[in-house]
Amino acid sequence: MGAHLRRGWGYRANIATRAVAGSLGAYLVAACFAAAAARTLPLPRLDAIVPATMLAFLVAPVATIWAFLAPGPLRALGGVLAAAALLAGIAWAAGMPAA
Amino acid sequence: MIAAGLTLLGMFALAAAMPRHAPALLGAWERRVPSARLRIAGWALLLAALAATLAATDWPLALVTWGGVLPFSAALVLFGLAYDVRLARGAALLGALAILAGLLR
Amino acid sequence: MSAVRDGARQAMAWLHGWTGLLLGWVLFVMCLGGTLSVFKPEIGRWMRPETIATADRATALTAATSWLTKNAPNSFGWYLTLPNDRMNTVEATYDPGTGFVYRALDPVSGAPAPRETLGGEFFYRLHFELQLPFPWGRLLASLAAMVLLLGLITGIIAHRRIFKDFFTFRPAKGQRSWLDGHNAVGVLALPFHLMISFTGLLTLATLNMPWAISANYGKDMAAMFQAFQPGQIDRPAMGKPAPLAPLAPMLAEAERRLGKPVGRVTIAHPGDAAAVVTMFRDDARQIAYAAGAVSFDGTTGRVLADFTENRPALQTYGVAYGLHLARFAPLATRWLYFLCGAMLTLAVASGMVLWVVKRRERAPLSLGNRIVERLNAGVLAGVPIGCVAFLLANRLLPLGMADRAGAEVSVALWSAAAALALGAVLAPKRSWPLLLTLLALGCAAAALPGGAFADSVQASVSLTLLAAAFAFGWLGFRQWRPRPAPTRRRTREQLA
Repeated sequence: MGAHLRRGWGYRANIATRAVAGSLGAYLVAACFAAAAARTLPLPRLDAIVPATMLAFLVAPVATIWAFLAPGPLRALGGVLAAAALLAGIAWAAGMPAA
Repeated sequence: MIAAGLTLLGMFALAAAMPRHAPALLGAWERRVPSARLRIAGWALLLAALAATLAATDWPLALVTWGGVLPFSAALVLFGLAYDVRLARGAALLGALAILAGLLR
Repeated sequence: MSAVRDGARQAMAWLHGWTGLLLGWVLFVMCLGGTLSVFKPEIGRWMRPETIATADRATALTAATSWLTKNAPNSFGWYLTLPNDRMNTVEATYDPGTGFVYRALDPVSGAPAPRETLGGEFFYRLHFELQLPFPWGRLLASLAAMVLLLGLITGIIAHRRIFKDFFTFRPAKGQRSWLDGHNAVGVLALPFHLMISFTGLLTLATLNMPWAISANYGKDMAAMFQAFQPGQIDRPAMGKPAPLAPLAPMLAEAERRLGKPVGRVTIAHPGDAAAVVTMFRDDARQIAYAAGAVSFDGTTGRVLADFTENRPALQTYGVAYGLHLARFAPLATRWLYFLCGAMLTLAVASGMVLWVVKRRERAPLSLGNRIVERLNAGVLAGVPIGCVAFLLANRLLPLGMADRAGAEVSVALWSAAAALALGAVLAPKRSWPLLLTLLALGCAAAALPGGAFADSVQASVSLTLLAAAFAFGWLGFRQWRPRPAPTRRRTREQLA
């Protein structure tokens, strides 16, 4: 993970970017996942919420882990934002289910 | 109770299967019993313990009880290995006794 | 290939350590509070030794509502939990005019117990609200729970030889022992830890991950709640006063329809013409939480709704919720939950200590790590001291005192703060033995005063306290004797 940058600003920026991607970013991905899953799962409106939320809680740590294993900090941030955007797009396209 | 006994034995067997701990736990028996068989026996005993809890009560409660007893059997064997090996061997004996007691009831 | 995997493991170990450090103390409070909450009713009984009357559910319900009609007539709602074999009182949350309070009501007279205390509810609230105002406490708890789940997953990935090292514990070897111990309590009860952290997150999901709900329902939360619990009817107050119909017949009808005893009763808008009485199945009868409900019109006793959960997705949610609360658990299983919770608490605590020990053996501690070291002593010993002070205050504060329940909580918080201050001011090799000894003395003092062994519940709690006293006393005693500083070792071998 760039041991030669141990205490330099490059290292700190690396960690900081990944930290943002892994915390706020991961939560964003999980939230968008929850919305997308709730709207696209083939279950009644209320029932779908349960697996969507449960899986979202698993998506969040996976996204955090990915943010720290990604090849570079920009890749980490970009990847997380891309995933969130994709999921948000799916949720928006699916539209709110009818009553 | 049977389940607890089975898990104790299971944990003991699993530990005994490990090359690191076998000398301590088995003593002179080490050469007689191949470790692979001990490992299989260990896992089998743990599964048998699960079956025992499933027979005793409905499946959610059984799973929870089995999952709860496992750490403690493991911990007993662990403490035996760390502090006094006779404790670990005693755990195996306790496991066997517990199974017997459960069956006799 | 294995170099890549090793790099990944190191990254996960790094992540595990830093996220654990950031929220470790919060997690410690939550895990300790949660572990103690397993025995919430028993602790409540221990803290109200004068209230020994028992009554069946119908009598208790009638007594409680009679008292509440006279003393909290304008409360927005009365939220009651009926007595069962663990708890002989009616637990009630109601508004006597000055804001919502929580009291245990005597099952025969309906009046609050003479010893005004939060009882075990204190630990329960500490566990998911951290004594902070809504919603900040729960948000912080949610964040800590997510970090816990992350910590468990990163810990598993980082632990190179998770099965081979399963039975490894080498005592008295400094950092090696702490690492072995941390791994042991973490791995041995890993299924429990994963279950409890995941289900815990789920219980707060309406606050921390409501996006599935808002995606499917938008702003129409009323429709969501109605669909979620069709057995519960919510309607606004009419503004027209009307007395409540007798509740005992409603209780009998609810139990007939649900086929199981009733646990919780909610009375919305009591004394109003639009009052609704909702009765829920007792959580102790099945794993799932709120598995069924019946609602009655408050003034006539007519059934408005009757529902027992049968939708698979929502049953799953109910089971997950119930697994976390463990109200279903019979006595032996409850002890298993308690002990596994203690192991999780120890895992968190040992992790915090390991952070310091590992760095101390490599080089003199940086300023930041010295602060961590002192906070460790203050928090890891201080929070339990606060809990014990709460129990002691319950025994020592005068019965008739105003806001006695609040005073007990204040004693707990101030004691913890004092311990924290001691930990900050004294060198760790002095603060640890001092705080542990105080903790042991506190446990013993709480267990001993009169009536401690009056019945089995009292005896169990007191004996547990005494056992804790012995354990902490022994730990503290070992710390008083000066130990030689461990020799500085090469770093390579130490990183597991």
